[in-house]
Amino acid sequence: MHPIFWALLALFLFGALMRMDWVYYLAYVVGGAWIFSTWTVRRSLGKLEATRELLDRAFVGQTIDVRLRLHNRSRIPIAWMRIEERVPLELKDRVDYQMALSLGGHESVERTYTLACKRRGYYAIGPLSLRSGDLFGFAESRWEENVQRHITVYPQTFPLPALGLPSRIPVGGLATPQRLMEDPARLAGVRAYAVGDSQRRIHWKASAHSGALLVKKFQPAIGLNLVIALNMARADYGTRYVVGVSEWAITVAASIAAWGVEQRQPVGLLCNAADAALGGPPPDLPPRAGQAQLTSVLSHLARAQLHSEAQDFVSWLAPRLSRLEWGTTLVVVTPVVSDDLVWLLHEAHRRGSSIVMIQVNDSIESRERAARVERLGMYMYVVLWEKDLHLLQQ
Amino acid sequence: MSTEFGFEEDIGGPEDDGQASSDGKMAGLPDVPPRPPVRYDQSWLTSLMRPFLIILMIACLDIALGAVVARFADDLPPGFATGLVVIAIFGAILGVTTTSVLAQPSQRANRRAATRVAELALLLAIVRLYVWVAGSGVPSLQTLLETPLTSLLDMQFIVCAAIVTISWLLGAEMAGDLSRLALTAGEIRMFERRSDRGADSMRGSGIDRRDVLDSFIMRWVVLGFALILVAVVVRRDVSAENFYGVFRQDVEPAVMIAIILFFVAGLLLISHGQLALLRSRWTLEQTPSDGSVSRRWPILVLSVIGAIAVTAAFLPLGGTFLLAAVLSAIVGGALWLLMELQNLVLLAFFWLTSLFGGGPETQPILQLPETVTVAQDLPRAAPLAPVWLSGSLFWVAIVALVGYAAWVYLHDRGAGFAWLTWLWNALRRRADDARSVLRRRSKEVAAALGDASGRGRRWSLLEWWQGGPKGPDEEVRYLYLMTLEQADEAGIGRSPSETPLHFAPRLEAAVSEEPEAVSFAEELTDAFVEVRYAQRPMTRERAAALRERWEALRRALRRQEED
Repeated sequence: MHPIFWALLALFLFGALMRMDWVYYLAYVVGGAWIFSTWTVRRSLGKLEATRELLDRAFVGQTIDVRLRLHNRSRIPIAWMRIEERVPLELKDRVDYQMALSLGGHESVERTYTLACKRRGYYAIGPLSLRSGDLFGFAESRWEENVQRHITVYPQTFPLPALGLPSRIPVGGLATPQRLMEDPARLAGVRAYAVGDSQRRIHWKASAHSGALLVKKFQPAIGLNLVIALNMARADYGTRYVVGVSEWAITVAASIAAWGVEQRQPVGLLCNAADAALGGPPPDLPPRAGQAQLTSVLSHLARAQLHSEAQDFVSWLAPRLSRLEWGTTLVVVTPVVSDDLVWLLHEAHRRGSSIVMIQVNDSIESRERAARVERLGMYMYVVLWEKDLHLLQQ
Repeated sequence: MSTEFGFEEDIGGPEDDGQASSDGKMAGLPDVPPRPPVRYDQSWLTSLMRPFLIILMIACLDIALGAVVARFADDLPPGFATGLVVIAIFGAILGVTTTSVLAQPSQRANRRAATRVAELALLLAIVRLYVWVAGSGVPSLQTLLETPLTSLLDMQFIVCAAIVTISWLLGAEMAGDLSRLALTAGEIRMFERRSDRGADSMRGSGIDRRDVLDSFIMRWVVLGFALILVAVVVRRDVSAENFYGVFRQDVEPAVMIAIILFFVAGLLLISHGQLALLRSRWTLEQTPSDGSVSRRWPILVLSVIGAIAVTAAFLPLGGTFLLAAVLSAIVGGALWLLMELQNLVLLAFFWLTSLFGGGPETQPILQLPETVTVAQDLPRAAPLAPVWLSGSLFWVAIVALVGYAAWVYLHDRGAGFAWLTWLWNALRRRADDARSVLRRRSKEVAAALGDASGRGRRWSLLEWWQGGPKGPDEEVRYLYLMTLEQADEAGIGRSPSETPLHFAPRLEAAVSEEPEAVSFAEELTDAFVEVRYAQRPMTRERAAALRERWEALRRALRRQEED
């Protein structure tokens, strides 16, 4: 009990014993200040509305403006209030997010602060905590928000203007040097008529112009059903540069997914990571085209974390490969390419998938293994830096 | 965002000691980066509201104490209490303003106990004069000199001095306590560097502001109760038993209003202190404020207190008689219970001791016969000095103390004493001139008595004047010296190249009209030569004889001078 309470009691008793009625006036004034302070402080924060407006998605390197709006639904002003927002370290662009202000009756204030998305991830903003008190120091109250807002920071992606990913799908929208089949919808010029050419391929207008028989040339094209398999098993990343290598793997996977969607190809994602939002492994994303699919893929990759208790990657990937459609191009992003993985993927290759292995961590037997993989009809690249991404552009 | 704190640069910090060269660099030393400005919490230190409220509170206390004086000191003239209250309020203003000024960083060199003591001494001197002039009257000179202590420290002065001292002390204490709530330079510096990740993140503070504020609140409560007790003391009747009984309690309205104002002003100061406490907390937590808190604070405080005060005026006040009787009965019953319990305990104790039977007989205490003292009027010893002498010394000491206090006080206020310094220097110059003239004359006489080789004792007239001749030899030298003085005044002075034996004929010729003087001149010259050059000791009888006969020579030389 605040000492003022005992002073009031003593004042009251003194006035009664001394029979001095006017002393009660002092007790009313001092006691009134105490009661008013205690009562208003207890209800002030309950009458306060706090809302937060922010974009819940952003890319690495962007800044997010968070607008915090406070509205006092009561007529009684709040003399002082200390606001503190909990912000993850990866999003901070200042030391602390706190402020002291006053709020009048039925008044609203807006305060804006920025978050710097320095690293991909899934972050919780808040809870917002408030602390308020009265004018005389008789009472204080605290309030804390019971919900949190989450922000998804997508991983960084690098532009990949032309990736030479293999495919066995004969038709599609991607130009390819593989002349498996010419796409009759993609005219690539004319040439002189040769014995054996079909009459349906004669370009009559050009022939009439030139006075000689000319036939059409068609550009070969493929369809790319792209599935990215990302290995996020903690055990496969060793002990050195774990964070850097895993982040690079995610960046590579995101860059390839972005390229695929940009080329209007279906893209899917298989990932054995731990999802920060779900707590467990994320669901597999079947190949789909469109920006929405890219958003889903990037969201999965943003929330992906190294999984300490993940199943062995080969064992985890095997049942998923059996569900792949014929002609799917599977891009496996992994820190280590083991023999088991190579044989597993070779089986998938024999079943009709095109396999590309991207090793994001260097090892001694990388070259030897890459040569062996190529002999098996698959592709393997060691991509350690951004400059190594050109290896994929063939 | 920190502009609301009103931080300002140090205006009295350590400056360069003037040894820098013209280009601003210390010779021979590498370039020193400029010292960052030191910022202080000037908005708090220079606030006027805080001192005003403190003075208001103490003024209320003074009004109540003045009412007590007016109530019980019937022999005082009317208006005396009012004047006392005015002086007490002046004392409070002095205490508050001096403390507030000394709290400034530029005044750190003046924070001396001597300044405060001098201030209090001057205040008490004013009170003493006031009590003499407006109260008991100025005592006669005889009373002042014969009974200085009683004249100075009479009961009226003691009471008035106590009231004024309390006012001054309370003002200084309360102003000092609330000044400590200001932000320190270190805390301000830490707040300004809050964005610097490399800055020191330690957030300690050497001042427990919560404790300071709590002590102020306790003082407010205690003084408030003291004021109510004072109101009880000065009232003349018990309240009546109805709503309007408050107007029949015969409590002075001024006292009542003073007590109410005291509590209201205290609440305002508590609120002010709470704001300072929050500011310091936010500074240590490095929480910026947008200024709305400081802007709204005084408006909210005045609105809340005003609304409560107006509302309280309409609440019922009367009818406490029955409640008072009930409370008195409860208190009386509790006291009776305590007394009965005590009696029971004592009864049990004595019963227990009686169970153990009688102990060994104790010898009766020998009763010594009463010593009879006979008051005897012992003869008083005759005073060694007049009675007024000690009184005079006492008042001289008092005046000197007050004067020194005034000098210390005014000097620390920056008052100029150029006129006083000029007067003192002028007096010193005159004294130095007189001393140098005296020294020059004594050297001339000594030189006249010394020989060419510089042997012999050279003494000065001052030594003679200080103690006179100290022996027969000295007396002969003295007589001869005086003879030379007289001869010089008569126009027949001895030249530096003349020895005493060469000068003797001229001296004898000058006093030739008196044969006795002539023979004495010869005899004196011979005696001097013996003492001065032959180092032959002179007998007392011969020196005394010369002294007796010297007057004739002196008269003769005087007549020569007059001619």
